[in-house]
Amino acid sequence: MSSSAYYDFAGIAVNSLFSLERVLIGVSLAAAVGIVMGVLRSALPRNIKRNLLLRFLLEAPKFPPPIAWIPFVILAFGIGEFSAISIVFIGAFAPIFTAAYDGAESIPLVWRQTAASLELKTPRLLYSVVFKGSLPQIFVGLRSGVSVGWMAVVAAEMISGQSGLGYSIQLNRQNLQYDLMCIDMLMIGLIGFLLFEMIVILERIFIPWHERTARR
Amino acid sequence: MTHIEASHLSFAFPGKPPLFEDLSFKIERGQCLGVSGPSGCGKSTLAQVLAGHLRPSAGVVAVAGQEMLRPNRDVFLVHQDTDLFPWLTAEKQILFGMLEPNSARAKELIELTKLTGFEKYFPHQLSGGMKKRLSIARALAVNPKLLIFDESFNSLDFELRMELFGDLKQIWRETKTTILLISHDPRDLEQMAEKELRLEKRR
Repeated sequence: MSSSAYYDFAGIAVNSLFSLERVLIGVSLAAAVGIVMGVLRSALPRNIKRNLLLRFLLEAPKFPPPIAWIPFVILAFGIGEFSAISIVFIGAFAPIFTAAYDGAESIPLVWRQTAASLELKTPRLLYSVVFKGSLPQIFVGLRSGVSVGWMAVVAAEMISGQSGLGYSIQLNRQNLQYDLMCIDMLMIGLIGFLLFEMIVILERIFIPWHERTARR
Repeated sequence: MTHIEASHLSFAFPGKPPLFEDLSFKIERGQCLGVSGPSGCGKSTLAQVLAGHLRPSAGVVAVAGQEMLRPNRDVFLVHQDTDLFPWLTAEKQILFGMLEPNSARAKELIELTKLTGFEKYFPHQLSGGMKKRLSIARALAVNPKLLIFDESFNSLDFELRMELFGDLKQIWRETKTTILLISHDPRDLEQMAEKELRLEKRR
């Protein structure tokens, strides 16, 4: 057996692509829903925002780690792509939603007052001032979200996967192929790093005006 | 008709003594009124009340005969801190302030505030003085009936401040905008104010 056949680089690449696809879909959905919900939550009247029940409903679900949701997701949706993507979504949603809300709440009063004097309608205020002003914080959430999402997809694949790097680690462990397990781990680290760098590049594209981006 | 009229204005934060009481003054069209007084006497609060961001405890603010009930384009406040939107370039900042974006007018304002060549710069790429000029340009783009400068240049050193006041005076003469200029430094008010309202700190 040649070393390239033994190491099955094609298999590693395919499993990496499966994991990558799941994390990209899950994180993208979490970003879309989390950002919209975070910005809209900041627009709620103050007495509703301070409501303890609403705060509990919005904050409590983020505390169980994504891995704890796996049995519930399998019960609800069975084993498959949808379940794996759901776990990524659950993991990535919390940091993105929290960051978007915190970012929107941290908009300086002078910007809000300027927007009020310009008589901006609510949709334009939310998009052109609140969302854009929250972008630096949203990107902090996206960095955490993509990291948690990536960890979550590997964990989900280890428990219930039929493909992906997490599944590959389990399979190689059962086959006592520890060297392949190490390659899987290296791929997880490499792809995780590349995903993180992808967010940094997106920051440079979307918020070139921010001090953090300008300093780099 | 008097352009801006404040009648019997009072303001107090909840549970606190009033910052000012029964304050009345008028500003004619194109006039510059200076407001001075020590720190904590309520100058910035008065600016917030005039701009509609705070509701007076008593009294009325009328702009061209209309009572000021909420913030609107009639009164524009240039704050102490930078109030520019950091994600907009200088040109877009000015266009954002307009009801109907007009590139030709934006170009005029950029020339008027000596920002030619910096149209595509973000605020963080501009010096302190240029940021203030851009704030003036955006405020003029709004075309307000009253433009309030609330210690707007105080973060700058004296020399640059005087230079900016010189520019603002020139702009004021050209545009005939009605201005309320707030500063704790009488030297600032000497540059432009035609009459002065002095607030005292209440105990």
